[in-house]
Amino acid sequence: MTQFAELTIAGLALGAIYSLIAVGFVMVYRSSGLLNFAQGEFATLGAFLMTTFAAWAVLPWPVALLLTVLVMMAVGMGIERVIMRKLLGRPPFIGSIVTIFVGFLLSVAVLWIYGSSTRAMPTPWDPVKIVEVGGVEFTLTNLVTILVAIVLIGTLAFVMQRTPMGMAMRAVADDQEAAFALGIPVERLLGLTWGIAASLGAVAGVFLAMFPRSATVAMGLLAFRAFPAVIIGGLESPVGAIIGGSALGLLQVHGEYYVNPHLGDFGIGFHLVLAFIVMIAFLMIKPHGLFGTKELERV
Amino acid sequence: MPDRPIPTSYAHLVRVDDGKWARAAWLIAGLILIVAVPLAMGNGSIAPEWVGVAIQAQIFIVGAVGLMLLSGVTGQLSLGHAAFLAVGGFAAANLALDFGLPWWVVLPLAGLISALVGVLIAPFAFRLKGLYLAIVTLGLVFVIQHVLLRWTDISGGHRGTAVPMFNGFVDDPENMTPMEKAEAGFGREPWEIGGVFMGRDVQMYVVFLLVTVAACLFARNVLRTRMGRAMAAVGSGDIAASVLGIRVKWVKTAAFGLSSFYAGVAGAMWGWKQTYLTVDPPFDLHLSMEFVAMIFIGGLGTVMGAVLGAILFASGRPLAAELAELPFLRDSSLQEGDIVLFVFGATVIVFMLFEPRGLRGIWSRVKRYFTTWPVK
Repeated sequence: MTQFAELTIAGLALGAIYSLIAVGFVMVYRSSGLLNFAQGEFATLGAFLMTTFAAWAVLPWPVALLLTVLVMMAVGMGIERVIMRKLLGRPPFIGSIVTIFVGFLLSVAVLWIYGSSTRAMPTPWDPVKIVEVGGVEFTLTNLVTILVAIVLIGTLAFVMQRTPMGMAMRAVADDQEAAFALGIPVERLLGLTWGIAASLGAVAGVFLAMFPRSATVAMGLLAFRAFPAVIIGGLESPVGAIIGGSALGLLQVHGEYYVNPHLGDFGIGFHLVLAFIVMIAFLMIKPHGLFGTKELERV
Repeated sequence: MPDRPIPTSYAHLVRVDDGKWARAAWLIAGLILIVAVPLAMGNGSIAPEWVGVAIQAQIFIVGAVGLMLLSGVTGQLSLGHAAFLAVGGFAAANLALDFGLPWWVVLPLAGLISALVGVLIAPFAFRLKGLYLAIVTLGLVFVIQHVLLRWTDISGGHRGTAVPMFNGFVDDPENMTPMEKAEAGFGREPWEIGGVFMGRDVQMYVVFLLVTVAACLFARNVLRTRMGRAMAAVGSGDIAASVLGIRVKWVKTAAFGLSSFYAGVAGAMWGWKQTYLTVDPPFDLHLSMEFVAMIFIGGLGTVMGAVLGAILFASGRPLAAELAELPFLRDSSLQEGDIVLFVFGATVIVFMLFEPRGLRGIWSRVKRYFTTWPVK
């Protein structure tokens, strides 16, 4: 039972990272209808920037994180301004395909700047510190990850629901033309969406690269691993992204521990595939996810 | 915009080519490719690495035409193409290693096995559309990769497996020494034509050229059949297509089957070129995305576009590798493959922004300029 609880916390921590990435997907999908395949590269770039600011430039940790978030916001807005804005009004799958290649460019850029070696992510707390609550042990990093995800996504939800800016963003997500007609600066808001998505990705990357993992170029693959979270939650719902992300984290951690050993050789690394199998099965039953809306199609 | 004269009769409407001049041009191009190029490449008179590039281009063409039928024509965006290539490649390896089948039997069988997997995947496309389908096919890459890696009898696990290309039926291949296998393999005897000796590479080029041309012509003709038109109809709107009485599920299944047949054939060719295959690399998500890039750069929806995109991709690889020699890149940790990726990423983005119809669009604009000259 203790072990189950410990695994659950580890799963939730991983799930929190997935949720951050998934919310990034959802932001872009809701506002412009395209799936941002470059989200994982935002995480990689963010993690490496953080190592630069915190370990190399020796800035205080919170300042470094803030700087990372701001730089990534600029990167996201820049990509929207230079590339994605030119694709406005074209079929969404064209834009989605383009993001794949934007991701390629970012990954090569990271490789060029930082090389293929791994870097440790500095933390202001002792990275191996263990917290014990009622016999259940888990690392402090896991706890902080979960808290940060809750605070960030909560703030984002508040901004989206309660502020004029959030309202305008939701209007853009609803109907770009109508929003435009109302005098909402659609393009600027789309840029902002990309900026927020990129900085969410960066925060996810920073926490993903913490001990026992480290910042590597291969982190970009992570976004592809987060897809089941977005799908299970539905592409349009931030709440869905959180539930989907947590479910994915739990599935992977519990799957690795409880399912893999029963499959013999086949089980090595099976937990990573398990999520995709569950996702595919899930899509067969609910093609629009838990919280997605069914599109009405005009012929 | 039409890039050919307006049809004035039924015969004009259904004809395959653009008249006798176009036919003559294709004939000459074909003769050059199948006679002059191998003769020039024999004895190693053309830089030998370009033979490899040409073979790679042929493999890409077959694969890209397959993906074009599925994604470009039928509109079922697939990020799982690499998985089908992997199935074809390992099917080719095992058909030869276990049953001693010659390559000309293995080639269609590898395609069929891959097509079978494709048909099994097709039902996902009944319920899912667009990006959701793309994500499912993306998941399939991971699933098939995992299954292949763990099924060591088939793939040899991380070590990989040899892919023999036997010339004829071989008895008891499991007890052959590697030497004997090599003796029975393709390209052992050099071909001699008019004093020019052609080694394995050039022979492979000739054989693959026939396969590639057959694949392109078949695809082009499929598009003109009832099924091909139905595929295009499903591509432009499956609900509308079903209202027209097209059996959408059947068409999607056929498109998946056909596309993965092509991928399987391309996978087998890939295996023979490399003579040795591992699962990852090359059959990973990147390869899938490269195929998507090919059909997008070339121009969606036409065989010609897929061919142009594949050729650009294959020939761009050695050119991009030259870039790796640039002073500011040479000392960095970038591998040749990374630079290739960067160049192609940038190319695709530029194409999508400024020439959405791809190479094929440029081609038809050039053609229109000359056919309508002097009218602008």
